[in-house]
Amino acid sequence: MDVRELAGRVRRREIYRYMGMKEEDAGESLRALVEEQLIRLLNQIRVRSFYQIFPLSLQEGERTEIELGPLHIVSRDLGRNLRGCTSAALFGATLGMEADRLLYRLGLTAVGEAVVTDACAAEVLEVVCDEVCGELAALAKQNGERIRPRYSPGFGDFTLAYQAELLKTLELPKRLGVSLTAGGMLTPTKTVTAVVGFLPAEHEKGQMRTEQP
Amino acid sequence: MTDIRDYLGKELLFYDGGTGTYLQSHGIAAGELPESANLTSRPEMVRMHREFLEAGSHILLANTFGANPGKLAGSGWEPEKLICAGVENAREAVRQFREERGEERPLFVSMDIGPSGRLMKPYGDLEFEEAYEWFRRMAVCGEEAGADLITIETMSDSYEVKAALLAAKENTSLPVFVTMTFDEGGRLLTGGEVEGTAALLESLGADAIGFNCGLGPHQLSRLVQKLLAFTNLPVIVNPNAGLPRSEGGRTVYDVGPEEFAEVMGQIARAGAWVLGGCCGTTPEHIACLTQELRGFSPVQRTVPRRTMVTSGSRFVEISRDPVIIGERINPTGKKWLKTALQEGDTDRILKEAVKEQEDGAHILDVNVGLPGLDEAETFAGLIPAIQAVTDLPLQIDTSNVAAMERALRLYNGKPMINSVNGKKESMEQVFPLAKRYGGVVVGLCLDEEGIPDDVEGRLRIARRILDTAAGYGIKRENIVIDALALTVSAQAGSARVTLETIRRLKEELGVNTVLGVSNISFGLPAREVINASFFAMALSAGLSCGIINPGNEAMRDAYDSYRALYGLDENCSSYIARNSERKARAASVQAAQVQAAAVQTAQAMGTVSVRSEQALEPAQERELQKAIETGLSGPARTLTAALLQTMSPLEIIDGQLIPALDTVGKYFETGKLFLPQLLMSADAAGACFEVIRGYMERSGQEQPKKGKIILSTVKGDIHDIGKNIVKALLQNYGYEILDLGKDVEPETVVDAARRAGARLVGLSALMTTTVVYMEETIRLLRESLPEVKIMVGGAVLTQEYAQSIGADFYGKDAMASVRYAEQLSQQGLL
Repeated sequence: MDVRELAGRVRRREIYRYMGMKEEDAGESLRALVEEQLIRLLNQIRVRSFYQIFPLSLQEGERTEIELGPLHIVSRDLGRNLRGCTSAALFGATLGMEADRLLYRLGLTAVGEAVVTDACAAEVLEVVCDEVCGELAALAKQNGERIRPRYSPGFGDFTLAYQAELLKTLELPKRLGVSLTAGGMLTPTKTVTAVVGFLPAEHEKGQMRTEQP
Repeated sequence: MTDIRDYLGKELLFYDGGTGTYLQSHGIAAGELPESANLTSRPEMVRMHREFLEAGSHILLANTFGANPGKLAGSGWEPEKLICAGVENAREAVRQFREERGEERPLFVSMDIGPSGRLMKPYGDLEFEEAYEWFRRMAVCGEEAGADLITIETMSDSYEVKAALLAAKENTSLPVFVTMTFDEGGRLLTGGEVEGTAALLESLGADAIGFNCGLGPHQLSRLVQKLLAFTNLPVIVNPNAGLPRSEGGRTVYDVGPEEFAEVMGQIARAGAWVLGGCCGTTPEHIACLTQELRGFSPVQRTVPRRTMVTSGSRFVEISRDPVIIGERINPTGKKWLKTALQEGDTDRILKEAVKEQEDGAHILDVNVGLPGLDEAETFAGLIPAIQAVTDLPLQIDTSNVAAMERALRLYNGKPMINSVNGKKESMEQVFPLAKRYGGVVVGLCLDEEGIPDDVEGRLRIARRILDTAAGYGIKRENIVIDALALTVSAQAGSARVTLETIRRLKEELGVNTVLGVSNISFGLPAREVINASFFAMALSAGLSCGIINPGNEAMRDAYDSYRALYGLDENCSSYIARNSERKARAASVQAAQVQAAAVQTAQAMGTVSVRSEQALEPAQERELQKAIETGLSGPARTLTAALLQTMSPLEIIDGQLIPALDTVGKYFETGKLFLPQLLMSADAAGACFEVIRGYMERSGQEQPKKGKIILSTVKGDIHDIGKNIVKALLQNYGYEILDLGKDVEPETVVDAARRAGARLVGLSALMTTTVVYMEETIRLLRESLPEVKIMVGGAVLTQEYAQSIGADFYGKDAMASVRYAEQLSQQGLL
């Protein structure tokens, strides 16, 4: 994925939203800073992503049990997201250590720039995830399917405890340099993992409005 | 025992193929830890090894890749048992193969060490010594179980591979081969490139180096060429069978045995000596490969030696284009740095490091020698901290051997080591360290007799240093000689000796040189005039590295001019770029000066009295407040410098900075301004404080400080932006902040608070999973230091929650913590 291309796709309003404000509330100097930091970030990071598609079976009852490739997941909320799906992709995407390195340095030298860069990084990561999902949507379309909104460990009752298994299944430490700390946090910090269900055409109606976090 | 090193370069040696691939396709240990098969499926594992031997492999990797104590913690498996069984299975296969086939080719069993699966500090949470200990256990166990060599593989972090390589070298007598995983762009996941990584592995004593995993043979070819052109060590290539592709939930690889063998054949013909496969490669791949290269003799290569210094992600080559070594992190003659070191004010030192990089340094000298300071301890804290904020390689500068060792051990990369000299004792102390940890050593032309007055004498010492180093196995390219610049005012003509020594060191000994340039001008007026001229002359005599202040304009001018004149700056583009920058900077300074002059005129005419509190009308004061309020650091800095000509520091702080911060703070609290704007103002104010602090230090004034506050992000949490925000704001309000960083043990917080006598501790946590450690930290603080107040903040906290875990105050946003500190301060509690 060409990082430079991403610059055009980054939604400025989202960056301001991450900073707890609206784009209209920003003056000239903050707007200039956002553009400057965004370009610097994009110039330094190396974006990486990886996905793999697995067969899926879902049993909803007292507890919702999901078999997703080698993963066995118990989660009512993920189950609701994946209802009707027969396969799903697991994916990981990261801005790499370079983003953390930049944020670390700015946290020390210029905390205003750090906060702006942090928000830019969050939005860039979203755009990268959208990119991956776009690819998955295209794949799904070929098979007459469509994709469900991505769902990450930590959403609803799909606990962070599944993160370790997910990383292992995708071999993310090797492929993306993504690992977990002893406390179960993703490193590099600007990393997302998620599940994306593939919904066959016959399930389209009545399924798309299920609640999302 | 047969030593594999005796065979390198005499015949091609073949590794085996992908163990994981084999296990998967044979349904062994499905869904289980792959290494568990060593105990649960012994016959199958022996059969796997046998198949690779039949295919023609010389080296079997025991199935111990992930048998890392860190990875296995809590799994119920003991690393030692799995490793022992893994090595034994491979040995059993060798024994059977020899017995049944009467095979005579050399066969080796290698202990296999993979990555720990955790990210090293500072971006992750794994300590260097913890990683070292895990790898030590693996290596020792592998040797005891009878492995013939150790292969450290699939590494993608230079710091982690250093821990593994040191652990293997220091605790076993086995040969150690290292293969790294690069991406298609030719970088490690942590950013390092082929040349820098190779320089590091060579310097740490790897016996053979190369690539595995990540890429297929096609993609690796280009990187292999790069490595072959750089290193004299034997090169190993163990690619995947192409790039991975997903098919029905399975990872598949598309390069078949014939194609694999064909491309690998080209790689062998280019000069690789050890070949094999990784993920996706089967015994068939290896069979085709060994068939393809049957009877082929390894290509002999000689590669020109290069002087390389590296950090975790960057390398600097010392050669014809001279290198700037930043001299600023050295307390000699710098009061601010002495104070910063004594008070443990790491932030200030780190900012200086960042500034030196921005000013154009290529390497940073780090010297913390100060009477009464534990140098080793200081290095242990500072070296990793500096490496977290800058990717420049460092020069470890100390005469304290224990401190040098500590720094070299913890350093991420291949550093410069400053210094050794011609004294027997110095060489006996420094060279073993340089050999063990790697590095480029600065050798000073002095010995027991002092510094020779003549060129011959200095060359004699240089030769002795080079020869002695060679005796320790340290190659000539890893020595840089300092011809020594003496104070010219004390010794007339000494500069000529230095310059002539530099010229002859290069011409006669072919060795790189380094010089602490500014020593030349001690005791003279207008030092930078002499310094810059001398620097230009030294460069022209062939100097490879100048230890200078990269922020000094005259020195940079000398450097840039030299590069432009000697054809090292293509199209003079660096020279032109720097001078346009300078022009722009000069214009902004001039604008500020015009304003300052206007204020002075107004004062002289009696229309403005800057000493009167009511007189806040002059343009410049409004400008400063405005600059801070709009968060413009550059203008704020310039305006502060101008104001200092007419106002006292305290007047500026109390009359300008604090009111500006208060205004912004109030706007933030009432929703008129938002967090980034508040912080841009904080940064601008911080820039003013820096200028004021510099001014006060130069004039010998003490800056008044309010109370000491400890800040830390709690154990388990690595998200520290909230803590950094609070810190920046509190510092602007005059509080002395002791920042303990992130992922901090509860005991460390208590110790720091006790030692500093702090009355307020601020804790941050971002994740629900780490709030438990916040609670534990509070509990410990309450037990040991009941008088200390505790404020907490972070995304997952609420007022109620903060109360329930026993905090005194919950900071709902960044300003709230300032208000709380101010309140305590007014009550005399801080």
